[in-house]
Amino acid sequence: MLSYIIRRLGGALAVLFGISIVTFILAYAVPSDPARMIAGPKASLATVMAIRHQLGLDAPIYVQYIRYIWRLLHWNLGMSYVYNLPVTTLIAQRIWPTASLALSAWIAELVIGIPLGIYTARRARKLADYVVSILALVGISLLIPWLGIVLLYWLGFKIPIFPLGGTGGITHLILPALTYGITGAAAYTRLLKSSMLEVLRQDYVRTARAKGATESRVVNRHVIRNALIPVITYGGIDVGYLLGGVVLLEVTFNWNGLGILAYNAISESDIPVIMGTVLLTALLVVLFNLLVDIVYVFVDPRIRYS
Amino acid sequence: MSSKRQKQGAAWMAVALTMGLALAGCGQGGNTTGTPAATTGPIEGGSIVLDTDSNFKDFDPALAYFVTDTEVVPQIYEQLVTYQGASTNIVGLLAQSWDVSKDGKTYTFHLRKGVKFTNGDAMTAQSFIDEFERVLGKGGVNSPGEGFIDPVVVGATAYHNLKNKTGQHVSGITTPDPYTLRIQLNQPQAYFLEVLAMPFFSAVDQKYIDQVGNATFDSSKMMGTGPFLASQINANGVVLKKNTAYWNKDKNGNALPYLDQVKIRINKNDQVDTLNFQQGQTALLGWAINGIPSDSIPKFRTDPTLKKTMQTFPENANYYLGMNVKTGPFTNHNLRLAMEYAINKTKLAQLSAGKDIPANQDIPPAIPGHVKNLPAEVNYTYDPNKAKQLLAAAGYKPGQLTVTLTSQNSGLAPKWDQSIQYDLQQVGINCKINMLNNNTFYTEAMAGSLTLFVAGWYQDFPDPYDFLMLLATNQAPSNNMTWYSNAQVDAWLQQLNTSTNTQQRMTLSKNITVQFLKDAPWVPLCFSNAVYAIQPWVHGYYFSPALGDPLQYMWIDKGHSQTG
Repeated sequence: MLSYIIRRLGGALAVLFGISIVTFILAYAVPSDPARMIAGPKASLATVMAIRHQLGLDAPIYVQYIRYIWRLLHWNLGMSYVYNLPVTTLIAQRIWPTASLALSAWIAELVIGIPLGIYTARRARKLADYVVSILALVGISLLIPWLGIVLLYWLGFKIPIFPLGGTGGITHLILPALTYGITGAAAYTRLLKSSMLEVLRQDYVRTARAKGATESRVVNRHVIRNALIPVITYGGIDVGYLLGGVVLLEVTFNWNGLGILAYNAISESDIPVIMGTVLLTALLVVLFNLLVDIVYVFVDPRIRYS
Repeated sequence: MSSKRQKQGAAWMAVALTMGLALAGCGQGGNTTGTPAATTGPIEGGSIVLDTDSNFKDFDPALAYFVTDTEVVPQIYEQLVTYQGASTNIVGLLAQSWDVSKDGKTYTFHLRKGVKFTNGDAMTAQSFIDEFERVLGKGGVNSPGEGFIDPVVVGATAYHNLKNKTGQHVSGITTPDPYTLRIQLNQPQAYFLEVLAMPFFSAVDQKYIDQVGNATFDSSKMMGTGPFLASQINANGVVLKKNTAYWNKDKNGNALPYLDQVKIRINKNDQVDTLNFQQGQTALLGWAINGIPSDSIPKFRTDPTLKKTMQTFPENANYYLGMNVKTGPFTNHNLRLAMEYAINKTKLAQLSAGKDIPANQDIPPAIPGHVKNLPAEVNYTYDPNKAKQLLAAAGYKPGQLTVTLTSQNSGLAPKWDQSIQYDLQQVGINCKINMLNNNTFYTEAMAGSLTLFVAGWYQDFPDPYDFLMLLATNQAPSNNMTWYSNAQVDAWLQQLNTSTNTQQRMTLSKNITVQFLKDAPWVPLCFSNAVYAIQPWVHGYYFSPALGDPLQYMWIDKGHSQTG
């Protein structure tokens, strides 16, 4: 198991290295000159060139890349062109707000999605199944910015139970989490339902019933545990989507986090920030996928890594 | 001189708005055109909250050139002179008085004594010399303000070009004594005081900057002589606290500022920012957020309560459709004239919910030099039939020409682009739309590589030269993105730049405006208005044509204090 984890982490490094190259090249493919932007329109060409030199933008791209990697190996993500602050500082200011937002959004998805999945599987082809399935489809079709504004309007403005957006504590987290939960839960519901229906048809389930096990024991002990495997796999992948969804949540709910930082960096050609946030996101996705693989071992005894 | 905002990427529509260089207010009590004075007079104390939808970029006065920064920086730092309330009159701020030599080339400022930075250091003439030198590149600072004094001030160019500036000084800036500052110009400049009112030319404490470093001074440590001091700067915004030792008083002798605290939150969602205002949590939808979001304006117009909070002010900004006169189809004069008649500007103005008004020239109506009665032959109006005739005269059959319209992908641009595309199709010109992000747009536009584009200009200061200089040959391609060049216009611009005779300058402005419209490198599209919302419990607000929100003159009724 340990050697497996070490091998996977080694693979993760290779993935990050590849992503860093691709991101670096893409960032340079855009014909946008950060020095021009920093200097402003009245600046002479000499000033623009001085800034280019100061930022190291006058070196060939491979030299810039090697410098970047060298700094990265020293835990230095560089200085933001726009904010004039170290990228690590910018990320550190925002990582906990974003992590708490993402975590609550993910939990909301699971809390809404999984019980509904179990419920519809057990009521398959009954009225309740159709009603919940239709509601789930509606949920999955809603746009985060739209649903977010509707919730803010009714529960923040008209009936002011919750704050009207802004970065803050638990009361600030509820509406964004609910928004993400409603729009994202349907995937879990449908996945778990189909997975459970398949498991319910297995021989060992019939055997368990034949042995006289109660329905709740059959479902809780034999069905859900086995049916959860695809859900866990999806949960790992969902972290990647979640980091994208967080951008929308942050913009909708005025939450100053990494998503907005990354989004602005792209339009401002702030390459060090783009690189820093993309690498961090890639690292998180890789780590979560590894975590998912490890969780399999505990959920499904048949899986062994050696 | 001007610059700016254009490029920094303020939202397109706001391009304009943004920029502006706000300046700290002058020694007048506020309350001119904005909100009614409370019957009791200014009330001290209380806190307000404002939302802004864009990030802060630079807090160093030598670098601050972005709209959000100019809401804050002039509250922390002060200049020699500033604007008087809502007017364009220049009055002293840290300079108590000044003399100008007969030839218009030497300015001698007599500074206020006893003004201290908030760390206790004294403000002297050296505080300005240090900042002028920083603007000219001392300490590796790359200031957008450099072009406003180089080559205007004697010795500025030589100083800027020095590789090692240590121990060197600008020959044209001297201090006969610690409270006198003398600045010599290479030639007279009618708007030099307006230049000095920009935040670039603030008093700074070099000792403090040396201690914290240029980079920190720019990003997280502000310290000046102004009415407020920065108590908190983080990812969520900025908190300004009252400078209790501030030197300036209002006209009744009351201490300024009145407010204890101003919190400016970075909140990107305009719709939610509007709801916050409606709930009474924020005091203004003003400078920092570029007014009431366009989408919410119809609601403000129809809701009786909200309608009372609305204030509309002419904003000194323009939008234009630029045509590349150096390469491509628009080298053809008849084709450019066809464009002048093809665009329905009234429709463009409607698309912004009335924030904009149709434009017929470069200079906005509130700026001196705006030509009220343009000669009929250059006062182009929407006339598709005439556009078709001119297209034929240019040698194109309907449908034969395809052009690419480039714009910035933000604000109203998508709506405007489609409207322009439709208008062009109606006269027989096919139009493709190419939307770029702000940075890419300006990188391309300022390299002079776009054929047809929508751009805008927000004043640096209320002077015709700030707008007309966009047409100078030596501004191509950076500010003159169309490559327009006319030797006669260049000569007039040179005179406009150095003349100090107001009458002569107005005549020159008119000559330049008429000639440029004849040559038609632009289709002037719209001038913009600032449409702000101000809570009825906020007093002392005024809209200065050249400055940001007058936070130092605002006060609020009791019971409305908000800390966000």
